[in-house]
Amino acid sequence: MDSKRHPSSFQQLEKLGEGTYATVFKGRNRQTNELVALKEIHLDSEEGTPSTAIREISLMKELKHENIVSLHDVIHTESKLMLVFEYMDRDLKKYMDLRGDRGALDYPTIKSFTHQLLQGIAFCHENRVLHRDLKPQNLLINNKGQLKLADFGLARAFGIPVNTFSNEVVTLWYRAPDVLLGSRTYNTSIDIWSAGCIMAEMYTGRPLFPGTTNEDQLQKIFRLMGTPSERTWPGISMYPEYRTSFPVYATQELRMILPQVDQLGLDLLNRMLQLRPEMRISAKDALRHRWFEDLPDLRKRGMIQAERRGPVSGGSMGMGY
Amino acid sequence: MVSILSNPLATPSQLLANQTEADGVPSSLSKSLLWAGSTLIQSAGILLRLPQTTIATAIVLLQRFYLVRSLRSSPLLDSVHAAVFLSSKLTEHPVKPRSLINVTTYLQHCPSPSPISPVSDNEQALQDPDSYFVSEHEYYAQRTRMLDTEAEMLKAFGFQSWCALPYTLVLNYAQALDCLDESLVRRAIAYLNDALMAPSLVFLTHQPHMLAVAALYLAARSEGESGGGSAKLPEGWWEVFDVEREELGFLVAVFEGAAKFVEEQTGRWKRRGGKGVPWDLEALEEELQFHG
Repeated sequence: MDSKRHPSSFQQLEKLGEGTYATVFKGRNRQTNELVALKEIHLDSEEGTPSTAIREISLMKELKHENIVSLHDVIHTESKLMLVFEYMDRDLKKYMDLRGDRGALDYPTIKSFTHQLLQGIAFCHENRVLHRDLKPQNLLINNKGQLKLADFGLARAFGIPVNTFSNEVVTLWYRAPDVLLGSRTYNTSIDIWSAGCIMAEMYTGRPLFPGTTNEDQLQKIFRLMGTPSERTWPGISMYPEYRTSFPVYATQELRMILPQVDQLGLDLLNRMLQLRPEMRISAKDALRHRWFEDLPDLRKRGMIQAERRGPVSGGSMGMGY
Repeated sequence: MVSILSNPLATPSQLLANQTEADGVPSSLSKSLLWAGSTLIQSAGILLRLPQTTIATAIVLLQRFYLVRSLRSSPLLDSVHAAVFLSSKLTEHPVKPRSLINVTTYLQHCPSPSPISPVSDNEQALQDPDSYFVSEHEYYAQRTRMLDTEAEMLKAFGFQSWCALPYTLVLNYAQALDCLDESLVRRAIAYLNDALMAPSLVFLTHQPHMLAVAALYLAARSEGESGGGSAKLPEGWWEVFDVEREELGFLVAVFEGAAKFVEEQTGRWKRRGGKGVPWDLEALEEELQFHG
């Protein structure tokens, strides 16, 4: 992983995406012909090596797991930093657009993806790492139907609890209510909330809570989960963003808006989408949930569409890395 | 496993194969320069209003860096800049390169309470801001070298730049021992800051929990001596925190020796008159000739 290798060891192919601090290219290792994803980080002369990149590299070096995209190499030159990742075919967002029925995926694929997502999360949490920015664009899928967590630029090692520098983490739609309420001491449960939102989105093809602002995001959540009060959530009035003027909504049944989800699936979703962070199920417990009991059987019978071989045309992966 | 409570420690072979000494720099000079660099970081950190965790992280990064690099190839001042710059980002208190370079230049040229600042022989020095003005040209040159050194540091560390520190453990242990008292904690933290300057580099060789126990032990002892009424700690309490008596004894000696070492080093560079610490390679070569 030292910077012995030169950028020219890789042939740069098409651009896959562009973000605020990096550009991702498809690449080919000239020696092995292996496909890779090259994340190029431009080094700014006022900022030096961005802390997001340092954090991402130091964490990715530790996190070796089949459901976490693997970092092969780091190449440091004067003007840029290049991270060499394993190549994945596309992100979950593109996968849903491409393979889903108006975005909605088949039930066995949802089960397989949710299970892999939770396995990746559980591994991070066991290693004291919070991802903090889980969303379909950061979950990468390959043609074997494997799902891997990517983009650890916002991730961080945590103690108990994390006192954050800001609550400006996690893309709004997948952001946990405690974070939206201004909590700066969140923990592993924020990743579980995101996982719940993503599972629901795989069923419908649409984001569960597509809020436009912090306040709108909270309202969309409360409209479904009910507006919390001191009675249902002791201590809620202590949160900085808590308002007594929140519109009061009654709790809706999840099955009313997600009729396509079976009873056990709804039970798991309910446990992941708990408003109170301490009530949310852990990744480890979620993996033991009865909803996953028939997964080995579905896999054996070849029911998981995502795992069926066959070329999928079009749709490169976007800015997932 | 990413851990917030422990650090990668220096191996005995790394400690023995000191790159700077292998490069022909006498051991006492090498130790003294590392001290001067650490002191510059501490003083600059205070002027930049950085929290002590950011400052301590920068000092640990500097010490780790010179475990594997030589002062004769990586100039001290550039490494000081890079260590503070990197640490400020890692601990989420980013500083601007301009502020950092301004502050270290000021400390090198103006009489100030920092032990590495020149002694004031006349009032003139203080009143002449030109002596510490950093021109655009000089600023760009220093910033470029700082960024190069930062990349070199990350490479040397394999990007593992995390530093676990003992400060919060002191609070935690004092609480567990039911002796949480402001003056005791202040003393313990002061001991830790002393130990950062010690030539034995205990922050690289010992885990934070051991440093916290040693600091607390010394603080409780000196509180007792000064008649402070803090609670008497139970017999052998350090064992509860996984520290053995021998280990504690060693650390206590290091912590207590730090003050004397700092005094010697301060005297060493003050005696050198206006020349001060050799911050760059050229000055270091001159210093080596002077020594030779």
